[in-house]
Amino acid sequence: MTLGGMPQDIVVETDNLKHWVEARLRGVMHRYGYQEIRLPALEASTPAHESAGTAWDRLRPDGLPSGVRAVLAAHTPARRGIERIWFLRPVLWHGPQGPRQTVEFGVVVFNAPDPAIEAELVLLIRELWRALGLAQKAELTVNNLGSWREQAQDAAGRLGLHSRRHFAEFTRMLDALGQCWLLDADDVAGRGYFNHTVFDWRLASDATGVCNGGRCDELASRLLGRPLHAAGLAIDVERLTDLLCRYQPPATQSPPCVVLRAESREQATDLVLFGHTLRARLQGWRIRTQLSSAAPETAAEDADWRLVLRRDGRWTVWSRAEGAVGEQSTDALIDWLSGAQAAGRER
Amino acid sequence: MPRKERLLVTELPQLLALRGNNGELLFRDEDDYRTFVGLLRQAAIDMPLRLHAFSLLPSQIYLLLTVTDKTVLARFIQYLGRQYVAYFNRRHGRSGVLWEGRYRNAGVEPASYFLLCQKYIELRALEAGDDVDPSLLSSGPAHLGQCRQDFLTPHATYQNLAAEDAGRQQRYRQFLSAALGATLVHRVESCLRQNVVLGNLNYCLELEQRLRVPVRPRPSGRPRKHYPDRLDYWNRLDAEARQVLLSEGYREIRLPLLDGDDEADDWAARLLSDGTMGCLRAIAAQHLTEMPARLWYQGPVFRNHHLDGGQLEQWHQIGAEALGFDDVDIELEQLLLEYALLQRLKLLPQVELEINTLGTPAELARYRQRLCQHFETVLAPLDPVARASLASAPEVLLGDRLPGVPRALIDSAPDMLHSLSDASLARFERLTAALARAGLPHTVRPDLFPHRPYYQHSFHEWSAPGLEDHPVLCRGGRYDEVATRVIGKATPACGFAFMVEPLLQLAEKARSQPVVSSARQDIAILQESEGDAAAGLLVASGLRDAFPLLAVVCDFGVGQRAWRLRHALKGGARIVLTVADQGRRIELWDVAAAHRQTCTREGLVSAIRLMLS
Repeated sequence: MTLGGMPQDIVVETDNLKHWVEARLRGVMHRYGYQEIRLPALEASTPAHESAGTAWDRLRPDGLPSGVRAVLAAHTPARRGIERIWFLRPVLWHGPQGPRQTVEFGVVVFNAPDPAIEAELVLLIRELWRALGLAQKAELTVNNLGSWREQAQDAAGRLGLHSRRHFAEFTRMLDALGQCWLLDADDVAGRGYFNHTVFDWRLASDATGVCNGGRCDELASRLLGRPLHAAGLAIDVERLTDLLCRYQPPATQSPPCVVLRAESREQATDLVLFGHTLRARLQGWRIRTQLSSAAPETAAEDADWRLVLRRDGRWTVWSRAEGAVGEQSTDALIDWLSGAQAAGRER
Repeated sequence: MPRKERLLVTELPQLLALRGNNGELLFRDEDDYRTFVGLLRQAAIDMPLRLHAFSLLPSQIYLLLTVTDKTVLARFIQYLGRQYVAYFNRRHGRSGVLWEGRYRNAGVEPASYFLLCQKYIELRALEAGDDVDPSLLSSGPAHLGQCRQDFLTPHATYQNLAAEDAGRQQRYRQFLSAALGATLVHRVESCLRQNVVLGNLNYCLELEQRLRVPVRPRPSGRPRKHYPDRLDYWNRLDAEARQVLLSEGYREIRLPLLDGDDEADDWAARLLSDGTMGCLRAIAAQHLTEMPARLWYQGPVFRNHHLDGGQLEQWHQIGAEALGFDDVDIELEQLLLEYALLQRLKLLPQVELEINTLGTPAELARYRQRLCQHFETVLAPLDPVARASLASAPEVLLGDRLPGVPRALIDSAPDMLHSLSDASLARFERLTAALARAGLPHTVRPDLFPHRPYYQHSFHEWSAPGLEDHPVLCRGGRYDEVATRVIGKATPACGFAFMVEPLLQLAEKARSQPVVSSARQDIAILQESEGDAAAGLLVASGLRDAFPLLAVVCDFGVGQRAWRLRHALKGGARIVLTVADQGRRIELWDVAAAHRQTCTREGLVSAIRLMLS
């Protein structure tokens, strides 16, 4: 994604990859019956338990806890009945090298006290890996953090009966669903935010997890001011697309591309109007006009068709498949390209 | 319900419309036309009214006139009916009513709508055909100087087009040659139908305040109770914009959320306020583009709310910039692109394109100087700060928004189009001519100015008169100088940005929409006892594999079965499953057919397929 040596916070989107991933996310969320929410990138004030209180944290940082906070700020959950919500939002935080910006995908589920919802979240992400072609590389690690009160104790047998039962039920469901899991008792990063289950998806040979989630009842209850069950997960989408590029470059097929050029500058207006007609006729094709400009445009290597408007109003046609085709009048050319589009669709 | 009293604001010119009963012809041959025009001439002489324009269609009549009194208008219509209907019935051997219903009228705001209205009715008269003398069909030939009709009193706005007859006719011909927007036609007809005032929002508000009667058209129908899903529309907007921009070879870039180069810790002050600047800064920061380039972006932008203690507001933009194209064609291409996108969103009937040219920066500076001189009497008494800020952008005085600026002074202000060099004017005319060739309706508004000091040469706005808070949907134009300054080398640049929130608002015409999309489910899975959750998950994942397009939702709760069922039905579930005995027994309920059955896990997929088929 990033071009060489460029600061991390400005990115040129490579082709359709981001949209391809977004479409997969959307599809999976639809199939699981989740609702989408659009969150503001700004946050009104800093909650008391966050340490830094300067002006710059008016933008939302990344991670599930901030996602829960954002959803609760925009939407009040119902008192009963499961609510499943997902979002895609820009986030910004202070990294070691200055501000970092990325796009985050998150899921938050309210009013689901049972471990079944954690299992569903795991299942959902497994389905996403399948859709992205990463199923073979993904590993799931889980841990039981216990409640906040239990996290404060340090003894080995600190986890109470309820915590252990919750976790056992969760792992039993994973087994029943045929999902391999790995207990990582050292993974205590979520302390103070999560309680009971935390899980982390890692892609092979990658030290840090790409998808981090778990249950955060106590955080949500504190934020809302009344008891609330919440669970969720968060994915850094740009990191995910990075990893996709590394492991499994997906074959996204680009539509046919037509490049129009005029021999003389005076014909540029005709060229634009012809492009307009062509776009209306050839839905979905990419049609690019090489307009008068200070510097001549570089030759279009990706073009499937190259059309040059000559001074006499006829067109010289070149196609990638057939080479130089000859010249045609405007009307004949439109019919001919429409025919080519229809043939392409049949194929 | 009693009939509403007819609204007649005598200070305004009135647009009058009559039509034939059941669409019947009002004029069968040239003699009929001649007789009617004769009656108009007689009325204009005898009665205290001023007739500005007329237009006789085969089955409709439009008149533009000014009367001093309500009774004069009534007597005028009565006169026409008594004379013409009697003549027509006698001549063509018919009897009874000729008009359909009462006459319809609408007041017209002189400054902004009178000439457009006159253009509308005179262009409609062309529908009548060629076999009748055109001077009998409408006042158009008289206004173009092709014949004389002394009973017409040209309106002041027409008189002000130019000082002498020839120049006036020449400018009116140019004015007629531009296409009319569909929005305008819709507006005129709905104002006529509802008997209200055709005018700008501010003008109408002021009139309402003064007369204490509603003068604006109301939306038809009762208030809507069901609204489309706002987020769905947003997603569609994103998808359509992306498709349109991709098909023209635009590359997407991600906007940085922070603007500016300073490393200050106060992020709030550095938040991006405008997509164009973000785009330029991104390019400048990494020297990434080989020119020419076409780029697009979408994302949040932030604005400081001046009134509310510097509180930040978040908006969304979808924008595109083309860098390295110096001729006018790229502006044409982008206008066509915006048009194509609005067409795909089916918003075209609600929006209008307004366009202006600002010339080169030097020409704009010269024009501003002339404006300052013109408005000297207004500027002189102000305090130095206000005067300096107004003097740097005196065009805001033209907008009629500031109190205390005399109307006559605004009307007599110098015109931007007259301050341009020949080259700039030719360039702008090439653009408008090409727009007319492409069939893109637009209005040239010489008093249209951007509120950001970016633009030069062409500047345009798509606005929706139906939206009151933020009527501008899209803004764009050329900004070579700013781009050159930010990037650091000579860069011709041209771009536009759509504002997402007004677009959404226009699409639904209601603001109180939740930001959460509605829940949708096709198959809901309930469980009978607590131990069945795992089995429910398994069943769900099997169903998702079998029916990849359906939304399958598990409900993990137990107890209160009736409530859970209601919850599932509210989400739109077509099939409700209840899993029991660790998944060994599954109860199926087809909601539409009210049919229940029990089956095993193996037979489940085929049973559901049967239900759905």
